[in-house]
Parts: sequence; structure tokens; C-alpha cells
Amino acid sequence: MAEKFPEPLERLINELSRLPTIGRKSAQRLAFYILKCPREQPLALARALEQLHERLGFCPRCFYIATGELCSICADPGRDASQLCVVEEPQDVAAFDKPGAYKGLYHVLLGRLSPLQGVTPEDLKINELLTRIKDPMSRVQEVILATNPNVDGDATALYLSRLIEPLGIRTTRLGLGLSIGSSIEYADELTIRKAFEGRREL
Amino acid sequence: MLISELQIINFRNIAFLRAAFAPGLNLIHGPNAQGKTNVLEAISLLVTGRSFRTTMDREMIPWVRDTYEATLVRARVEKRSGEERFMLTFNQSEKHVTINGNPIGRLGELVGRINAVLFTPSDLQIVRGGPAFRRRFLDVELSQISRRYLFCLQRYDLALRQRNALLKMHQSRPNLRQELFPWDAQLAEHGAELIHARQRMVAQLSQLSASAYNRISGGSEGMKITYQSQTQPGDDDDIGTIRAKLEQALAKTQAEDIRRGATSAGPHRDDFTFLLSGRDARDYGSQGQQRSCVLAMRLAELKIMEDATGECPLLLLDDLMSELDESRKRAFMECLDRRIQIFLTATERELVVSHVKPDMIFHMDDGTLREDLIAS
Ligand SMILES: Nc1ncnc2c1ncn2[C@@H]1O[C@H](COP(=O)(O)OP(=O)(O)OP(=O)(O)O)[C@@H](O)[C@H]1O
Ligand SMILES: [Mg+2]
Ligand SMILES: [Zn+2]
Repeated sequence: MAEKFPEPLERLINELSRLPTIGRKSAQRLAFYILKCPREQPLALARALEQLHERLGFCPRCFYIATGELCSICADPGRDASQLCVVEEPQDVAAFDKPGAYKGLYHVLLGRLSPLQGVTPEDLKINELLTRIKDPMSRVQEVILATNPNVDGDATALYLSRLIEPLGIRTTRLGLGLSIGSSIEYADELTIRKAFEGRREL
Repeated sequence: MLISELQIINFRNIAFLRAAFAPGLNLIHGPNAQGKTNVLEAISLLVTGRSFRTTMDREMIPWVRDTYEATLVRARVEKRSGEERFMLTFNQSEKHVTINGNPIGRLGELVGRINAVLFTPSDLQIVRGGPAFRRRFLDVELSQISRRYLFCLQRYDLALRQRNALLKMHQSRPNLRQELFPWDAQLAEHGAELIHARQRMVAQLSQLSASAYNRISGGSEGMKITYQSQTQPGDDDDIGTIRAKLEQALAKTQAEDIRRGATSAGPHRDDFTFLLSGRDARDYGSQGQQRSCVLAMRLAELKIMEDATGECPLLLLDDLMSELDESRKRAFMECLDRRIQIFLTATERELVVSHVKPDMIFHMDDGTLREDLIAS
């Protein structure tokens, strides 16, 4: 059995261990570290946490992170609105959005299909994607499916292409410059540029 | 390929072992329960990173561990490309492999570096056991010689689990068919490659083992191995054709799959059969005939692996002699290629030396291996 600590410490440990990759042991280590810190440091952390949700949210159009009404990418008039790149997570946008690689817009699904984990299409921002490209004002001509090159990512891309193609919009899949089993989040700039250049019809 | 030197520390009943082996036939003899199979198990750990006896590394740690820190298996391997040094260490909490002193990241990177064919008494399960044994045999085999196969196998398995999860947990979803599509597409894509590779492997095995079988049995029963798949691929089908057939099979069984909550077509349901004079050896073969089938197939495997890798694999034969009659034993020993390095265990030295002259003879006694100095 895990030993019980005084209530405030126990509560911190519980909260920390709810974070991904943090087990009870690591949570304990972190909590004791925080306890020993000079007071300013944990207070700064608490303020950062508090403001995260107050000052940041998801862009209502593309679901990337946004500080204002729209995210910085959707708000940028210099972007090429004929291309829409669909990714799994907001951090993928950060990985793709390197100068010279891609100038179009994005759409973040906030996940990938995985029945084993109970994730089905309505859990992702798929309806929002379809509404977006069906909008009469939409100038999208190509949807680039840039989900991860693994089984779940491929399934998500295949599923989307089936929904989008009947709308008369071209769908492409990123070229497999990404090595097997790697994830987009950690891809370097050159790999990203190659992946865009090597994209193919689905 | 050959192991010139082997060192084992703290492995089951072996506290310490260090031996140099001959390029040809190495006999390890000793009564039951002395540690002969343990030596082969330790060697095969370097081949696949895993034991052929247990899935739990803990079981290989010595029971008496007053001063235990770690288990170590280490070998010098001579390949055509030069010498390589392999070292695997593990204890209750960690496992590490180094090749030529460099640590490797994943155990999977070890696969294919040392090639070996292993025969153990439990191989009889390949003929007698359920289809899962036989599929596993093919999967292990093909993964060793083809990275591509291993990749498709891993993808196929995951896509299958996802599809089955969808069928089981989300049966009543209105758009189920539409949601099955992306998993079906991947099953067809990767499954076709699996079927294609297995089918060709089985054809090769069948051809090569037929002659080995006749040499071992001295008869002419006409041994054959045939691949069975619901997908019914033709002998000359290319991957694209098999893929189309698999797509059709998945479509055809979809309604049933939804009802059952499982996937009924695909390589995960395929099987292969040993035929002797056209009859299934599983149902009609004697124990000796079944053994001979597996042995013949292992010899075929050796040849296929050699062709695929350009290296002659090691041959690990556990307790072979207690399994066959006199004439089959002699015939088997005669068909062994002397270029191959062989590790053969037997309970009695005479069982072997009356048939062939080993290049080196070792005696295993309570975990201690000693070279036999008695002239043969
Ligand atoms: N984890 C362990 N720690 C210590 N001893 C072990 C361990 N696991 C198995 N043994 C011992 O190892 C011996 C079995 O070794 P092995 O299976 O190699 O025997 P063998 O010489 O091949 O015998 P046989 O001729 O019966 O096949 C037994 O004495 C068993 O008690
Ligand atoms: Mg044994
Ligand atoms: Zn946006």
C-alpha cells in the first residue's frame, strides 16, 4: 500500500500522478522536490497553470492553440487558403510550421482513431473539418492528410479520404520521409520539407 | 557462422561456464537434469533475445542467489564478414545487449544478427499442436530473414486488434461499416504480404524437406507441406491479387464478423499441414514419422536461411537421439552438412559416437561443463 502523507502533500501527489507518464513514485519525488523549493518557484508554477486555461484556448476554426479569437495561423491573411493540412495534435502543427515547408492552413483532429482506446470518429474534430471544407466560402482545393505514419494514423487518414473525396476535393498523404514508428512531433525540418514534397494521392 | 567461444555466468544451474567450441559437431552429454538444454537455451538467448522455454526472464535466474548480481551470456561469433562479440546481461529489473561493445536500443535489433536453427523435443507440437503453433513457427522464421515481414506482421496485428475492438465494443454503431473500412484496408494491405511470403516459404520448405525426409526415413512416403488459407491464394498469385482476394473475403464475412465480434478471414486464421503419402501426418503419422517431418523441415529451414543470409546458420539439436530409431538416427547424422556448427545434446555419449565422430565432446555435470578427454 502507498503510504499516506499529510493532506496537502497527498493532494499534490494525487494531482501530479494524473499527468501522463507520471506514476505515483515520480509524483512523490516531484512533490517532495516542490516542498523543498523556495516559495517563489512553486508559486510561479501555480500562476502558469492558472493562466494556461484563462489565456489560452483552442482555435474555434482549426483547433490549434490560440490566445485570441482565432489562432495566429488562421488570423494570418498571408496564408494559402487552398491547402489544408490535417494533423492529430497541436504539437504537430508546431512541428510542421517551419519556414519554407508549408504555407497553407491546418486542422487539428485532437486525436486519432483507436477503437481499442474507445476513440471513434465523433471524438475527433472530423465534423468540424467537413463543415469547414463544405462551407461555400471555403477555398480549400487540397486536403493534406498528415496524421502519423502508423496503424492508427493511417486508419484515420483512410477514413477521412473516404469522406472528403466525394466532395470533389483532392486528398493527399504525406510522403513517408518519416521513418517507421517515428512520430511527427519529433521530426526535424528537412524531414518535414521532404514529407511535403513527397506527398501522394490517396 | 560459428560460436568460437561462449561464456555463461549465473544462468539457471550454471554458475560459471567458459568454453571454446569446434567449427563442426559439438556433443554435450550427461544424465538428465544436469544443464545440457540450459546451454542451448543460453545460446538461443543471443539469437532472439528471448528464451525458447519461457517468456519470463526471472525463471532463468539461479535459485540460489546469495551473491547474485546479474546473469551474463557472452559469445564470440565468427561470420564471413568478420568476428562479432555479443553480450546479453539481465537481472530482476534490467536487460541489456551489446554488440561489439555497443549497446543496442531495442531487443528487436538483435534479431537476424546470429542465425540459428533449433530443434527441441517440443517441436512435435508443430505437427500435433493447434494452428497457432504453426503460424508462430512461420512468423518467427520469416521475421528472422525479412524485416519487411516483421513490419507487416506488427502492423497487421495492431490493425486486427483495432478491428476486433470495433466489432466487439461498438457493434451497434450506425456507421459501423464505414468505420470498419480503414482497418479492413490495412488488413488487406499487410495481410496480403504475409500470405504471399508464407505461401512461398511453405512451398520452399515443402520442396526442400521432401528429400530430407526421404533421406531420414529411408522410405519414399512423399512428404509435402501445404499452406491453407481461407483466402485461397493461387500458387502464382502476386501480392496485388492476394490483396484483392483478401478484400473480398473480408467483405464477404463482414456480416458474420459483426455478429461474432471477431475477424474470421485473414492470415491470422491460416494454417499449414504436413502430408505423408497425401495424408495428414497430424492424424495418421506415427510419433517417429511426425518427428521426422519436423526434423526434415528444420533442415529445409537451415538451407532457406543460408540462402537468404549468405551465412550458414548454427544448428542447435536438443535431445535428438532419444527421439529416433537407429536407422533414422544414422541417416539423419549422415545428412548433416559438416560445414555447419552443431551443438548436440544427448544423455549418453555412446548414442552419438556410435554413429558419428564429434569434433569436440563435452560432459555436463551439475551445471559444470568439461571437455571429455577420453579418446573416442
Ligand atoms: N532458475 C534455476 N536455478 C537453478 N537451477 C535451475 C533453474 N532452472 C532450472 N534449473 C535446474 O537445471 C537443471 C535442468 O537443466 P536442463 O534442462 O538443461 O537439463 P538437461 O541436462 O537438459 O536434462 P535432460 O536430459 O533431462 O533434458 C535441473 O537440475 C533444474 O533443477
Ligand atoms: Mg534437456
Ligand atoms: Zn486556427
